[in-house]
Amino acid sequence: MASTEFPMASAPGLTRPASARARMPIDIRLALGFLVLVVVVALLADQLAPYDYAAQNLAKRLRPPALLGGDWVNPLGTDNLGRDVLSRLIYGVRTSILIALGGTLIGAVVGTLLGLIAACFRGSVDEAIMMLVDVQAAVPYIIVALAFLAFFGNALLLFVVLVGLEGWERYARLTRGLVLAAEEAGYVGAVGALGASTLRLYGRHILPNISAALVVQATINFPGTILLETSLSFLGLGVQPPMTSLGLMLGQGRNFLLQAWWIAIIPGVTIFLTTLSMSLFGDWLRDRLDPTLDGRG
Amino acid sequence: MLRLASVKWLRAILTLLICVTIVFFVLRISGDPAQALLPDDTPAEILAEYRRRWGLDLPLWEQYLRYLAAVVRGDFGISFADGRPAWEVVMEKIPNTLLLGGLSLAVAIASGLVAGVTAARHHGRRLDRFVMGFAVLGYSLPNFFLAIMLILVFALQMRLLPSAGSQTWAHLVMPVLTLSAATAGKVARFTRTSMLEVLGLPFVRAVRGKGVPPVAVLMRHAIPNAAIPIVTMLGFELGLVIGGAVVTETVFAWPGVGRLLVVSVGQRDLAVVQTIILLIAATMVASNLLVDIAYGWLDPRVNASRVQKEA
Repeated sequence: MASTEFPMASAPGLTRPASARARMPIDIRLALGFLVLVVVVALLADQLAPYDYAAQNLAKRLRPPALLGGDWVNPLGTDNLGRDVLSRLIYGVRTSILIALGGTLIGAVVGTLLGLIAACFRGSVDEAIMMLVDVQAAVPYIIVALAFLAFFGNALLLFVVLVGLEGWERYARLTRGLVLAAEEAGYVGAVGALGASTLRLYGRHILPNISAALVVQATINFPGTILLETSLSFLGLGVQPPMTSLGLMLGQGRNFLLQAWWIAIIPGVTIFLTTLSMSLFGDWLRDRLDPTLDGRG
Repeated sequence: MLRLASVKWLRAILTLLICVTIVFFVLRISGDPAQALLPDDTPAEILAEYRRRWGLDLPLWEQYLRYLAAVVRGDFGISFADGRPAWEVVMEKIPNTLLLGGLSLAVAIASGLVAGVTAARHHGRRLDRFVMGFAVLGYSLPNFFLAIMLILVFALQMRLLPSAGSQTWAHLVMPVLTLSAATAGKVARFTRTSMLEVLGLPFVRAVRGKGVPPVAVLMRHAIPNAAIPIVTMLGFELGLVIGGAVVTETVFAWPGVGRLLVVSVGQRDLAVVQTIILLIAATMVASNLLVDIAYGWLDPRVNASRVQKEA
């Protein structure tokens, strides 16, 4: 998605300074703006939601949104139990975003640790971990997650961990590769020769040097994490009522498409825009930081 | 060549063995299967009888060996929801999933290739941006959301297509669209990049300079060379289709393996779940093996260099 450089830019007097080239294109700014909005909504859900998201009012079921003939009492309408869709959306965003953020952290830590261990011990430990990585890469993760939910039953903590571990094998592979490459670099030999312990070498020197690439990996992984949570909740196998999530809202709204399509479409659009924004932002970040280049890049 | 092939086969078998082992141990860690599968108020004698019948009272290693032997025989236990062998329950859903998945994969590859080549040929022009816009939409629309919107528009508003079931060919249209969208988008984007790279190579200029007509340049020279990375990608895309089938089949009530998996997870019908997991693992391992073979066949340079690396 890199924009092509026009030859004009290299003409004398027209050379763009480096900072101008580094400026964000408009679509990335929009994407980032939307993501900030989503996070703010997630954090301030208690303050922003006009009503209790679980409060039912059977007298006003299936009210349309304000712009479609409804009133401003329920700006996004109500669902089949008369619950306020806006409030449910806000809390759905909170659940989905918090699970995805927490999950991403879990997956990144576990994957990175395994990668570090593989690179540090080499030999059979390395072989074993990489074999596990290959096995994971061979089975679609949603299938693995479904199996664990079947075997262990659905508990919120297990669900968050399962969602988070989506993509762990990519962190492991990336970290291992980066560490092995870093060990070829001069600084590792120098720090080692100065007598640093292995822990210090990895924790203080190698990890900070490869962290940019790991952050990029996390942003690229994030949409997949959200999609996994929303897919499982949509299928009724993820977040359980009375809690709500974007996927669960969509799954419940699916039964009322004919009478009240907004119950399903509003959370659906929110999921779509969130994952799209994150993908755009992640791609842009990767192009900027290009982790395939070494520290000089 | 022979050595390379045997390394690949060994690795494939090892991967499968690890999958079986993980499933076995996770099943045992997850609790006492007898207790999980029988109602809470089951008398103790019946629990004990159950354990004895399923060999749950044996030492772990013996259970493991028996499990391995059973898996090799295709004996995955009895479905608790259905009462028949799990293998039978899963097998009768396979044709439906093969039909849906195969058709979706074919549609995705065909439309993705055409879109990608078209975009590359009109590189930088409006058609390129239009096609690529659709591709991005294709792989960033969550499949369940796409499915809901299709149902809303084509089944509920326009009343053109049935929204659930599998009786006629019309029932296939929306599930195939849903399932192929993401892969089509990815194939299109990948094909475009790959084609642009190949079209920029000196040999293409040489072929053109020789006076070969543009269509022949594309068909005989550019596409075969661009196909190599695309084939590698397709191995991964199969996983995407299998994962997508879970959601797609459930939304459209398509009686396939994906829907069976979701229902079985909901009921905790572990025998069926493990059968499906191992079947999917075997499918993926086999497809990776196939991709590796196809790769060497498409690009003769690969075999030589890989043997040196892996031997």
